[in-house]
Amino acid sequence: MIALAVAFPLVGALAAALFRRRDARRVIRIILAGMAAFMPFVVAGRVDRLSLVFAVIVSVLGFLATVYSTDMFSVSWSGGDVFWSRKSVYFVLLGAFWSSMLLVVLAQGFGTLWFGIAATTLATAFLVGFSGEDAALEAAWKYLVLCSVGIGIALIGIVLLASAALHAGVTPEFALSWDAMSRLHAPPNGVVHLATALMVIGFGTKAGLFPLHAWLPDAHSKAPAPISGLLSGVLVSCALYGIIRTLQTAGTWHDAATLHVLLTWFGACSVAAAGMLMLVQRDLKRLLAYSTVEHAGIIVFALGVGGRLGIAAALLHLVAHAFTKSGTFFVAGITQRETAASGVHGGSLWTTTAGGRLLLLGLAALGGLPPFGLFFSEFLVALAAIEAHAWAPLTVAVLGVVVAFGALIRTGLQVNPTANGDARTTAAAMPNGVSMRLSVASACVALALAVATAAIPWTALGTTLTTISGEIQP
Amino acid sequence: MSTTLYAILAVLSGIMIADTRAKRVLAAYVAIAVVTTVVTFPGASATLGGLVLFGIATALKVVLAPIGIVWFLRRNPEAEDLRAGAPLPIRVLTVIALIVLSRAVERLPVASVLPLQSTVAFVILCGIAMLLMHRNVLADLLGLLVFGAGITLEGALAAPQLPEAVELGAAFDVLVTTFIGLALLRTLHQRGMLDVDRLRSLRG
Repeated sequence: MIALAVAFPLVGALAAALFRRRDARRVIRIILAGMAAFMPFVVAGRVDRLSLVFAVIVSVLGFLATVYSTDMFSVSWSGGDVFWSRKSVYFVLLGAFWSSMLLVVLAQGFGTLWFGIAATTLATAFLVGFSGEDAALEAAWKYLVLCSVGIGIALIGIVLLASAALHAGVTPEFALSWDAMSRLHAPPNGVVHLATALMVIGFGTKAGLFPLHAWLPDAHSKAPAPISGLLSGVLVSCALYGIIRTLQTAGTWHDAATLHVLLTWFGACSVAAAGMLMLVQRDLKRLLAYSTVEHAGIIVFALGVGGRLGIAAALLHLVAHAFTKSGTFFVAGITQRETAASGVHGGSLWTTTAGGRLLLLGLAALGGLPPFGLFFSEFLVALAAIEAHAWAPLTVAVLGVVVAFGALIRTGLQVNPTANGDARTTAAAMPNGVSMRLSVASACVALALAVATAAIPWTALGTTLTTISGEIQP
Repeated sequence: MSTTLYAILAVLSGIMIADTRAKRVLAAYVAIAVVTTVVTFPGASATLGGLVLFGIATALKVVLAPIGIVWFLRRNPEAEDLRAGAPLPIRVLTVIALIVLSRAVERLPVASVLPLQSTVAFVILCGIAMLLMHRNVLADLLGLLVFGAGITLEGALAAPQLPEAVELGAAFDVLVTTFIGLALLRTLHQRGMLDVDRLRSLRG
């Protein structure tokens, strides 16, 4: 059943591609994507709650990205000048991307998790370079090289951890399972410390944590808008999921104090560096990409602070960020089209276009303003850090958040979505008789879910997140 | 055995970093891949699944990836020069520094429980150095392949009881690197973007 849930998005994308009539293909694609979005509920009970929460995030946003993409290409667009720049290839790669992320979050052990993370690179490298522009190809190359090194480092860590598990008496068939490792009470040793550090560095590279973030702003800003949304909102979450599983395993196996310190400073430095770099950005999607580095930093900081409150705040921030960032990237794509069509940019964008108003909402949410979900999660992260007396990294992180907020306001007022954007992607996406209704609807739903995340602490989902945090760090 | 293996890999890795002719560097990579394959074979052949995956990984590493690169070089002979990013003495010093650094790994706690850690560290560091020492993006691809060979070696030595997982990881790693890498490399070459210095428009 888990295999079916994982394969469904890719199989659905391939099946839809078989239909010759364009309208039929569009309808079938959306229906199959809708069915794929319900697949996590089919596997409920077969996977733990943490996997289920992530699978729902992946599936809901995968579905919204598919619906958004249905309106992305004009009827007349017949492809770019690179061989993978075709509509059919785009949707198959999107399905493969969705399936590989489900493989990550529904995995029962580190081996499958690593395989899924590596598969996301295979699916997304061509999506990053989809426009075929020189800058997009450059971004795709950097993405391939840096992420290959990152996931390679993670693999070394996984192998070392498996080696330590085998030495501690775990049988080979369970040597990569976090459940088996979590039940171990072997004395701490250097191999486990090295393994967990390498895994954090490896998954941290894929999550775009500073100083391993160099590929992220390029890849996330050069990909088509719905892919940017999935990369920033979901793929980064999947990489952070790897870090959470590492923390869960290391935390129950041996004293993970060093790992917590590493995570706390890794996160705080990412927030501060991203805030500074956001100040010099002029391109909207690049600004949003650096904002992803900032929010990934906040999540890792909260995981490092630890305790039930810290982990629960990290999970809440992760959920809120996934919907907020994906929604904002979806809207950024819409404003790119509107700006290209109308020439309107800067402050007047907010009042003259629908996309501009939605973008204002997304930027306010990303800035952590009340009543959005990120406000509550950041507040809880700060409370957890105060409770843990992590004053120095908290100060660094708070400064980063303040600077990032200033950068969002500053760039928001001068925004020109096509100033440095991917012109060919925009051209490919020009309406030219095709409505943007589905794209706008997807963006609205994603942002509505982002707003709804504010209610999580007072709902059953909030209780679930607290329970999960207790399972990660008893 | 370990000293001989280290010496062979040190010479081959030295050629990869110090030389600038793509075909010679590729030959050195193939030799490294063959050596790591020989080392990993006993563990991989313990199970049928491991043996099958070992065959696939070996075919990808030692045959298909080099054929793909030779095919690219035949059509684009100007890519033959890997364009050294530093003069020869610096490159030789880099190799020496990697030897010193990898020998230091022997002092880490991990080396007390796992064999050949300095050899593994040397191959992995050599792969990373390849990414930094040449200006041609083809060198990046070769560096990633050497890096992958080092990881396979580490997997086979650290977890010999998990041959399927190690070989599956090795095969998929090479598949991702070679398949995407060659497709992107071909397009980058068509745009005159083989020089790493041309890939800097997105800084900041």
